[in-house]
Amino acid sequence: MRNILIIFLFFSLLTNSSLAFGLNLETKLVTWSDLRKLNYKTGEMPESIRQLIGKSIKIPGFAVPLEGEDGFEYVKEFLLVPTYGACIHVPPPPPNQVIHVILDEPVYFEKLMYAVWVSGIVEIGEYFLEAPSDSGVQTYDTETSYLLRGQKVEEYD
Amino acid sequence: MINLFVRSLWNRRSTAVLTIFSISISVTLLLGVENIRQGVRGSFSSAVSGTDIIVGARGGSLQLLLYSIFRIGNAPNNLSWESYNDFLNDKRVKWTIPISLGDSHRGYRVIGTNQDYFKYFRYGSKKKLEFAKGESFSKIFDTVIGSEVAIKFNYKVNEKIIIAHGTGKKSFLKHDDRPFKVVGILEPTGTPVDQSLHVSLVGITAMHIDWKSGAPPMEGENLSVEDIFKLDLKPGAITSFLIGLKSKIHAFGLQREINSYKEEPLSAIMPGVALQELWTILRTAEIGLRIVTWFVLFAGLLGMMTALLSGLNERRREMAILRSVGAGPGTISFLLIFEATFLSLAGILFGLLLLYITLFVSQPLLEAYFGLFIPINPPSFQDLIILIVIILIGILMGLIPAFRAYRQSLSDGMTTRL
Repeated sequence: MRNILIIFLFFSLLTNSSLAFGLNLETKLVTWSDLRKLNYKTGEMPESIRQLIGKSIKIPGFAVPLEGEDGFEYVKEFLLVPTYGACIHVPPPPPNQVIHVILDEPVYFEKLMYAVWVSGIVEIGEYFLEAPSDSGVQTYDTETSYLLRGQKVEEYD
Repeated sequence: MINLFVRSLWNRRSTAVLTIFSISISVTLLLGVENIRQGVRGSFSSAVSGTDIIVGARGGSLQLLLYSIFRIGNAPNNLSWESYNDFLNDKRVKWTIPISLGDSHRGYRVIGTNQDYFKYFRYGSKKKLEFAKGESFSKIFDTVIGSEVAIKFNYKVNEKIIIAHGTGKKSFLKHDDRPFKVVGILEPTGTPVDQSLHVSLVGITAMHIDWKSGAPPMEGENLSVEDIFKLDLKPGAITSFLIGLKSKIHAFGLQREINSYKEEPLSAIMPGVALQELWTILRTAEIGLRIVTWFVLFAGLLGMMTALLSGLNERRREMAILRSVGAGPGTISFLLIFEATFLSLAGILFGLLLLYITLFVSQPLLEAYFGLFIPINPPSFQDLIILIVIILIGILMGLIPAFRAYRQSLSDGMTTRL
């Protein structure tokens, strides 16, 4: 028997984002240092980040492909990070420096091999991680991170 | 005038046919290379889906991807069951699929795994594995076989098969005292799953139970199947495992943790990243191949121009007669351009015909022998552009003889001497 029973819940705070969907016309340029203000351990965030939820933003970065359409020829899901390649001298980017992007329309993989601009609607969600424990008492961890419903991918120049 | 053109060409039919043929071969080559390129990429990239991290013994990322997913090459080492359990119980992990490699059956790889393989493994666009016949393995000596294995050897459910030690097509050390029973046959997937035989991890342990010295047990020393059933079998090691995460955000964190795991040197890769590495390598070869095919095409079209130019001398009389019946120099040069266009167009059509015949004939063969599925699609938009470019080059090639004919027919007039 598996001693872990994992419940995965992704509560995207969609209530306001779906309302705003289609209404907002203006795309805000966001930097990676803005995104660091989100405390991924507690879920606390300053007003400047809270205001982004459900808004359309544009951010540059490097894509790490996750899921393709019909294989990996066209990429549908990727992680957007501020640095290219894995630097093994420092720990990997924390959850508030990674954006999980899910595109409406998959893009050709070659477009994602260089730096790109991605624009889309921001969602901030919580992951509930149920940890196994030997004593039988289950402990929970919550982490907060960014999800982007990507609408457009452009080359960064 | 069309009539005139057809008859003139008919008169020189052998040259014309050869020209068309050489153009059509280059067209077939050009579009065929494109098709195969897409097929290769497609078969590679549809083999894995939904997996976030692949873990194996310390080694290169491409090597890990190739042996764990494509059954190409071999693993440098196994990883211990304890390390696997450590990551299996990690709170960020949603599911894992253990994979144990190293044995084969008549050239097809045998994979030791568990029920999670049939539950979580995805290919193509998140497609699940389905059983065509039978069910998953439940006993030690049960096996579930891929569709290609079933077709090639005409295996049915309940058939007994013998698994060989090592991964060669021929093997001199066989696990013939412990036959496996086919309990399930999977639906075709177009991925390496079709070419695999799946057994339980315990089954892999059971085959090797008394191979401690690295060779099969001496006669009389081997355990009987009944004895094995009585033993408490636990897999000591596996070759690699696939991980699905609860949140993809943790991919980097967990990957780093596995790569710097203290107990044992391990490698963790993200399949998408490793595939892109593979594309970058393949791209150089693809570009080289494409340049060669364009040169072949250029040679074919150049051949057409040579045929037209050298034909001009022989056709002085024809030109003179045409002039005498009232054809202007413009008409004559138009006739030559028209001929070049016609030849390249016919070459393209014949080339397409040749391409599709070749594809239809070779598709089942490539799939059977290389596990490579080449999709047969109507010419894409990109193909059409290539074809239009070929016609334009063809017309351009026709311009040169046309210009010469224009000038010659003026100077020669009707004074051609025989």
